Amino acid sequence: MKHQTERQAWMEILAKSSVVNIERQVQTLGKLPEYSFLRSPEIGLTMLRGRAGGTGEVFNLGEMTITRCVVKILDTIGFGYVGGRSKRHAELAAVCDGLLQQNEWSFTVQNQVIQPLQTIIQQKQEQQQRQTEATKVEFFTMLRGE
Amino acid sequence: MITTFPGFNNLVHDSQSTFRILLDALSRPGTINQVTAQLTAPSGLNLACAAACLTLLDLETQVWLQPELDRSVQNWLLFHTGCRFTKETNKADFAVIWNMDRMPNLSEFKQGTPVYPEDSTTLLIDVGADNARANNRSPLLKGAGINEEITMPIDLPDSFWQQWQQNYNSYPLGIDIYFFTENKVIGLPRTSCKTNQ
Repeated sequence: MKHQTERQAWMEILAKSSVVNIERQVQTLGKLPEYSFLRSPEIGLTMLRGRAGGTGEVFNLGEMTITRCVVKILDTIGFGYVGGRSKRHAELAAVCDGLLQQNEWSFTVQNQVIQPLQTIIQQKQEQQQRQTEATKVEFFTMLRGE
Repeated sequence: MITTFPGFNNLVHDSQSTFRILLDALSRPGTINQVTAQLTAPSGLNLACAAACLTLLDLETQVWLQPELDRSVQNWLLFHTGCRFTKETNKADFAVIWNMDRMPNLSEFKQGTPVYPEDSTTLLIDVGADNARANNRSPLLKGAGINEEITMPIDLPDSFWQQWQQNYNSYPLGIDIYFFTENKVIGLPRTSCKTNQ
């Protein structure tokens, strides 16, 4: 199952990164192999479901837009599922997923695309945390003198 | 196993044009209609049949595939249409047939109900290139959408025409058929009847 969780990790990073950042990192790879679309990028809706408090009854939270794409690149099949309506985002995610499954490409893509993107996501998250932290209000309960 | 064959080049326009051609084929029985969409079909399906499958099938349709159809066809249909497969002919909305000699009797397919006669199986039959020519044995058809009579442009076995007569007699129930050869479509709706010549 190690392989699967690895793949889940990079798919998550590709889905959560902005298309501008992915595009910039993919440029550093130089010339990419030719690829063709098995499923051209298409926009659709998916239903999000949740449980109140994580344990309650399942309810439909609402729908969100997703864009998906499947490419065939060097005999492997890459999938891209991303939130939003950017077709280019889905396409790049699918291409990266395809390349990451190949021995000769996986190391380079991991180093030049996935890791920088992960760093950006982490930095963003930490910054957000700091900003939230700064607005934290401590409430003290004063012991009333008798 | 995920398919390695793409679907339509231009999803929207190709499926719309194919749908129009399928409509025309069924409203003018016995005429030859050409599918203009381009695609690489998996082995076992000809171009017209593959285009019709991509156009007609979706998440809500139950599809019966004739046994021994190449496995890649099922993977391909599942990937591009998301349709569901059934093993029971009387549950199928569509049936894909590649070998007419071994197909089940027409009465084994879903016939529809008096309230919903449209809820019957539509057969998609790949007849191969050899049968795709009329000869002097080819029967004449009459019925809705046919001006007087028309020659059925493909050669079909007599056993089929016997079953077809029963299907015709059960109107308004009954099945409709599309025949596909290469990139051509011929419709045979339940309202068409072989004339006694």
